[in-house]
Amino acid sequence: MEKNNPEEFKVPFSPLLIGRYKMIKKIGKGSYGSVYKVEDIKDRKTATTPDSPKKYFAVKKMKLPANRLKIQGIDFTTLREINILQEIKHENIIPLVDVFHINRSTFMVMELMKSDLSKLMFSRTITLTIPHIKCIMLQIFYGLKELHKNWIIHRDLTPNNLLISEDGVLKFSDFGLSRFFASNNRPMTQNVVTLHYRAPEILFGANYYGPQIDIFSAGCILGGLLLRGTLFCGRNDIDQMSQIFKIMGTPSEETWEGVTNLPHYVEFEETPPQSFRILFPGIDEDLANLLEGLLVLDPNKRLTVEQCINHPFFNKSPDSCDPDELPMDDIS
Amino acid sequence: EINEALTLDKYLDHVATDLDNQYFPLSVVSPSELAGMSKEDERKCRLYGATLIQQLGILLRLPQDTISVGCSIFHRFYYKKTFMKCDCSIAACAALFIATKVEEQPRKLRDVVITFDYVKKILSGHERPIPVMLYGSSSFTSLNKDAVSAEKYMMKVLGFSLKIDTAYKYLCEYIRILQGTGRLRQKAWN
Repeated sequence: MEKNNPEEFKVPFSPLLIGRYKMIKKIGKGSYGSVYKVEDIKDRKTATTPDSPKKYFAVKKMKLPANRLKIQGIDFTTLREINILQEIKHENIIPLVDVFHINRSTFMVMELMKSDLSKLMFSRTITLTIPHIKCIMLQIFYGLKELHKNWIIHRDLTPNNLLISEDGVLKFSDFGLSRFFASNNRPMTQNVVTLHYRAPEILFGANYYGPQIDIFSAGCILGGLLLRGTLFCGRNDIDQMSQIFKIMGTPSEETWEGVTNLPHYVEFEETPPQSFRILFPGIDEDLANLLEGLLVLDPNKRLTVEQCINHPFFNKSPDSCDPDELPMDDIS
Repeated sequence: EINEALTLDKYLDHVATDLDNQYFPLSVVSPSELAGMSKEDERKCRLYGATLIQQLGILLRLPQDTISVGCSIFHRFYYKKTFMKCDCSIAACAALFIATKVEEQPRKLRDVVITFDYVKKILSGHERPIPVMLYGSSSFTSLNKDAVSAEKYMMKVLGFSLKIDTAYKYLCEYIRILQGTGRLRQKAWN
């Protein structure tokens, strides 16, 4: 192999990455690694005026495994994420600008976003009206539609992973857990999706699941937007399940075919399903209907993305607002 | 039966795959040729690399479509770099290792490296019995390091675009749906 990589040097102590991106500050941290705000200085010298607008990007540095022996070249989940982001170009999916590799860690350059949905959701100063919620949910469904059309399940749909741009456009990010679901019959892991957004079939340990798990997460987000908090906030797997069943009713063979055959199936004290109109007083029938359709326990009875987009809730007045009308001023 | 399998492709129109830049036109002159390598020699190098990948894939119990993705990565790489500058065998090893990750059939780097060493000894006509490389030995460590840096370098050259859709994947799927026999699959493959 040729061994001439003059650009390689230590990171993140150096402010400059591959001679092009200048690090400004750290803006986020997660299980995957950390995110930095960078400035693109490639054209700075050639720019005619010194005041030309600066270009900013976000760089995601993928974390290395703690054990040195466990290093398996470029991380497999990183490759997955790069693969998916390169393939999909959509308004509601975060665009990947550049990828590079320095000293065993991979860096992904992406568009810089203003905020994420969780900040909007949990903010105490912002009022979310029905048009706002319609706008947010529609954007989530458009993104999901594009993913499912390409045979991809996101598998980690939470408000933290839905970024919002300056203009209020919602973008999906963090595809480290996503995978293709078409045409291979290999079992899937149950260790996916943040617990509070996890679908009941995963909690019951199903080895084969489909895009319906994303729909359930979207349902949890819609509930969260109405509640301005987390809809199902369990402390552990069992608690999470009992919280879901408290509202949706306990599953049985009649309501969910094949549930008793799932690997981790446990019986719960029987509770009847509750109406969302009692839980959320003041919401109209269509919204309750949509919420119910998203959170159905049986994955085969859950709505598909198409059905969600064409749901009567979105056709009724008041119409969904434009993305740039979302209340973005108070959050940074 | 084979014809039927091929026309099924039309029904998969909604599957968005980017096939525009998948194959190089025949007129492309490879960099090895530009550097003065004869066509015959280059063919031999490519054949050697592909054989290595195939043998390695069989020993690692990889499905055939993963092996063919590995070969594609290997060939693509040598349309960017010459055989004279980059070692062909370690590139083959790295190509297969990348393919295992892209195709979601992960194998441990340790296994890939040790098997690679074994296959290389077989292909070079090593005296039998062939010694298996010891895990943790100095030659293992250096080969491991080489494989990782080769992988990194390959990724850089290929610009991280590794989405390769081989026809074989679809072929196997169609034959499975049509409940074809092993003979049909063999015939369709070649």
